[in-house]
Amino acid sequence: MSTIVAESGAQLVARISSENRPTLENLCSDLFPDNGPPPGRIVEITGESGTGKSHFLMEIMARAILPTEYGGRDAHVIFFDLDCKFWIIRFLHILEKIACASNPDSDEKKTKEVIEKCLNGLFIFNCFSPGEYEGALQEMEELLTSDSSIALVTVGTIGAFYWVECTEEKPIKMTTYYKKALQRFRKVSNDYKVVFAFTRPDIFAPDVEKVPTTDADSPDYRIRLISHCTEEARGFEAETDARGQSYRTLFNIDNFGIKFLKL
Amino acid sequence: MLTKKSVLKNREVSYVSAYKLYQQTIQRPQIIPTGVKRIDELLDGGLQIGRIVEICGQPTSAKSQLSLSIAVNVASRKNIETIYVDTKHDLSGVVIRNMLRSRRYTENVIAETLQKIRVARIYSVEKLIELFENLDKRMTDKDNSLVIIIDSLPSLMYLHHGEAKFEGLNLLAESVLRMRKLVSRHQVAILVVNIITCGRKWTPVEKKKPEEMRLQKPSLGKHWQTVPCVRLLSKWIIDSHAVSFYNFANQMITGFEERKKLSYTSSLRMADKSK
Amino acid sequence: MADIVGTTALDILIEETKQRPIITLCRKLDTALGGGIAPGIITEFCGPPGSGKTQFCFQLCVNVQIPRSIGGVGGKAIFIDTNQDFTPYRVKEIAEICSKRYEDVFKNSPQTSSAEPEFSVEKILDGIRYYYCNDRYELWAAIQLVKARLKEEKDIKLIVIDSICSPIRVMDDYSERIRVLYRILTDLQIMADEYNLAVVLTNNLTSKPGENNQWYLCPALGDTHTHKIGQRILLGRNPKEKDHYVAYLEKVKLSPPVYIGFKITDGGIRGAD
Repeated sequence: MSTIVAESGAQLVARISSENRPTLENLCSDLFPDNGPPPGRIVEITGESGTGKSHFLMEIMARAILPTEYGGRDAHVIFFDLDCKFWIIRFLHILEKIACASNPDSDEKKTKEVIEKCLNGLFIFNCFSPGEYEGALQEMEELLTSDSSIALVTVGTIGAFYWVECTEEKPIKMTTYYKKALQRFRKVSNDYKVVFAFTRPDIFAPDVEKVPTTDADSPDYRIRLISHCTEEARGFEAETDARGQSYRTLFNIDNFGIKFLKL
Repeated sequence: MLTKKSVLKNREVSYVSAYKLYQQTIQRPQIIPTGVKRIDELLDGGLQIGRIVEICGQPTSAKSQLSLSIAVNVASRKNIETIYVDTKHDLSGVVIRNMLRSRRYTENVIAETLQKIRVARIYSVEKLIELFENLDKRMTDKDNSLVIIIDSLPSLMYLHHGEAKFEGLNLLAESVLRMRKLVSRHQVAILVVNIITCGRKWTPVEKKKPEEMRLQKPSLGKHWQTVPCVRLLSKWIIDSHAVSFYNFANQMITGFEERKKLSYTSSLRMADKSK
Repeated sequence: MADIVGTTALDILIEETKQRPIITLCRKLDTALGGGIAPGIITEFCGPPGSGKTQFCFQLCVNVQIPRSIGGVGGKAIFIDTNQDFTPYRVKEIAEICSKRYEDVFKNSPQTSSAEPEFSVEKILDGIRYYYCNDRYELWAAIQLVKARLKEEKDIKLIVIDSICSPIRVMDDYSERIRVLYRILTDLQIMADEYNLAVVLTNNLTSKPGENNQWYLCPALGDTHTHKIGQRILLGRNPKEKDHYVAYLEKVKLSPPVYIGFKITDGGIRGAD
């Protein structure tokens, strides 16, 4: 006997519009050796200042929007650029790098055309106040309903409005703020079958890595970036914690984004 | 009360496709050279539209002088506006005039350049926020690119240091949001001057390790650390009279000439040796 | 853009060229400072006890009153004392010698033949308003009183605080210390801008651990204070000669760092020959 699951009207619409969404599985074996991330998952990228969080996010977005022949997943992406670390020129270089790596024979002009075309699938929201952000989140849901190619929503960064929303009259703990945001992401990712990826500076809500959390208010993948830069050499490391499973990878950052190094 | 209805009614933000953003971006030059060659190398070309750059360093480590030189160099270029936010009455017309005279500019050109540097004397964060809001309302696509130099942000923020309430942090966060709005929505680049502070309390040498005592970090707090895209650190090189600038992100270092030659009538000159 | 930020660097240059700095009577120092202690800026004299800080304050309180007709500022001074170092007899001594010196100039100057401007000792002493402050609350109150006074008396051209560090250093709470100090300095800066007057502070030295585990002397109140003030001149005694001192212009608008010798005579500050 199957169990009957109740759902609201909005959820029904969400489910129907999401039936044929592209997935991000096998996005990047360096980043997700488990061939993920499957739909409905939440990815957190955290680390100190200057460890490449924004670059990681750009890498994931680039691999999502490129066509499959050029190393991507042919998906659309919604991006909340809240901390102004996104630079379109750098993003283009990242797209070029991935496209050329996966399709070295394609001629330069064609590659450029393809890259510019797939930019049409990246929707960027710039918000500069909690009110604007709230409005943008509403619009995001409308967009998700109308565009069934969207497979990824990214946020750079969570906590961008924390110090404006946490006031003397209405104090909020960082951990509480974080959990509420995550619960919201979780609901959207479940209803619409999309992947959520966001960056978190490690000074924001540092306790979330230590306090016990439920599945609903913690990410499925927590990628921690560590800098191993010295005066002589630069190097970074990414430690991924995927609900108990751990992966490590080394990388460097240059003008073309992330360059994974073999261990 | 932020209800869904009220939010939808007041909504003024929408999304833009990356393609459209790309088209908008390539129409105008995105890099504004500072005119100080080695600093441009450190910054991969110069100040970038859409980004916030920070210069931090101990007091009297040539930060203000560098910002002034940059203001003068940028003002000498066509089609770029400059606003110098002076929070400590540091900008002196006489110093700039002497700087330009040493470059053998004519008096007419000197006057023109001086006229292009707009100076806002601001003594509170609230006034700074007001300035950003006014600029945001007034600027349009047809305006020239704008470089805003803030000398300095801690000079305003320390008025709220250690307050029991969150007011200081709220104000800093508000000004950050306004800065981001300006650089994102308009052709603006912002340069912020910050200071380095030592760790708070010194204890006798026996009790604490020397490294712990001298924790030097940029001031303005942890939230601010995540804001600038690039941070340059200026430092006196020990036992010499040279200043070095260091880019935290790409870890490049460049050096400048001996202090006694860092004459106040000329802009910063390059050292012959640099790392 | 002009309606949002109206002032340009050219306006500031014009404003600066019209300003009258307060001379110190040490010629080399005046030249290095661009004529003297400039209005609109906070200038700090910093040094160990007995290095001449208070003497400079007295001298400037007298010199600010030199009449405009012979190139002086012709303004009045406010002396805020937190140290109980103010000795009226010493100020009178300086005023007497200064007054006599300029009496000779009045006699020789063609402009002043008809109406001789008064630069008498009584007038000089009358032109220095004195406040004594025990602690930071009284200091704050004094500054507010001065603010109110400035609205009525437009001829005040110098505010001296001797010293700024005593009432601040005794505060235990380090954060509060910075906050209070910055509020005072910001208020002073706004007054200096609005009324085109000079602000002079005195500060002491303290010791601080340095790079190689050495302790070294540096100005009190920390780097945050150094950041906010406009100019700093360090003072010290010259051990080789009696009554000779040295001023080190550490942070000054128009000059690279330089050492300048000066003397303290009966008549006050003079250049060292």
